[in-house]
Amino acid sequence: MPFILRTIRKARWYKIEDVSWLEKGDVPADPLADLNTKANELSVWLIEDDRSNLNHVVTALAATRTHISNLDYALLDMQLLPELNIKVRHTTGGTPDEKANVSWHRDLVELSAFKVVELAKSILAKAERKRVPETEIRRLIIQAIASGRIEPTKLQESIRGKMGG
Amino acid sequence: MTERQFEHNVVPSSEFASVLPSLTAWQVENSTVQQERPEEIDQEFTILFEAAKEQVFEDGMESEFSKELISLVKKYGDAAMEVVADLITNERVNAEVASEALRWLGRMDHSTSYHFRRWLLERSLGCSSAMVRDGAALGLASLNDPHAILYLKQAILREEHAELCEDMEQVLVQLENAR
Repeated sequence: MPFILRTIRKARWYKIEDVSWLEKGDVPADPLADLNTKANELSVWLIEDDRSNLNHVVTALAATRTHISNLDYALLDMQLLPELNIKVRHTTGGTPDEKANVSWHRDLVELSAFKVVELAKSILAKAERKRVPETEIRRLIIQAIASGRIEPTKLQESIRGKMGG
Repeated sequence: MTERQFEHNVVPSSEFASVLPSLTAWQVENSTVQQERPEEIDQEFTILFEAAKEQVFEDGMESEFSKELISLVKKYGDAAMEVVADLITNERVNAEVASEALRWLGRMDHSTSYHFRRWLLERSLGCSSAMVRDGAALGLASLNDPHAILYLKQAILREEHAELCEDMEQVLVQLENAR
């Protein structure tokens, strides 16, 4: 079964043990900053079950930024979405990588506040949360440019200027 | 930095103080910073950090906060770093904002504040907030200076969050490879 990938900030998702103010079954509010919806939709990426496109998607996402930086993501089994009553729609992404945009971008649609919180609970309990370091991101972008997947002109100038180092 | 500021504002007072980097050697080598700083610098940073609480930060994306932070550090140099160090090490600012500041302090190009920025990043590995410690580790990764290896190793030994520990180890490997 494939996965859905959502970029996050890992530090917002650290598990907090023994927090007196947090009721059983509830989740802290900070992770919700990574699940900001627009028009009740949330942009995610489909990752094949063998993860063969994981680096491709990570590179595409990193290439949208103003600076080379680490990229944190959560990877959630797509099978969990029907359980949360969350619908998925195939839409086009907005990265400098056309293949990634067309092939793997998805939106989670018709999201209510309740569904977003349930999604946050699932990410906290069941998702893999990983960090791709800045050095690796630099290497992946250089590779994507060399292979022609990403046009350098589509990168922010602040990134293009740092590609030599 | 005045003696009073050194004693009361910047030096860590926590239980980790003994294993955290001292500013003394750096301070002795850089006697030019032993001056009073204008009050408006404190005010500018206090306002900047306070306003940033309303912003949602994303990795690798410039923000009004990051642009202004870099601009003020370049403008005021070590006097600016004194204020930032005071705000972060004494945990007087929002943890997410402090974390964001540390990321950009590691990333920015500004040779004259380099040692102070590195000191602050190493020192912030001992802050009580995991989010701030993460920002410090990411700032050190951007700085890519093996000087931080010892402090990272100590931070890893103390770290209670398994995920953060894993991320710090990733930075440690990077810095060891940079030697």
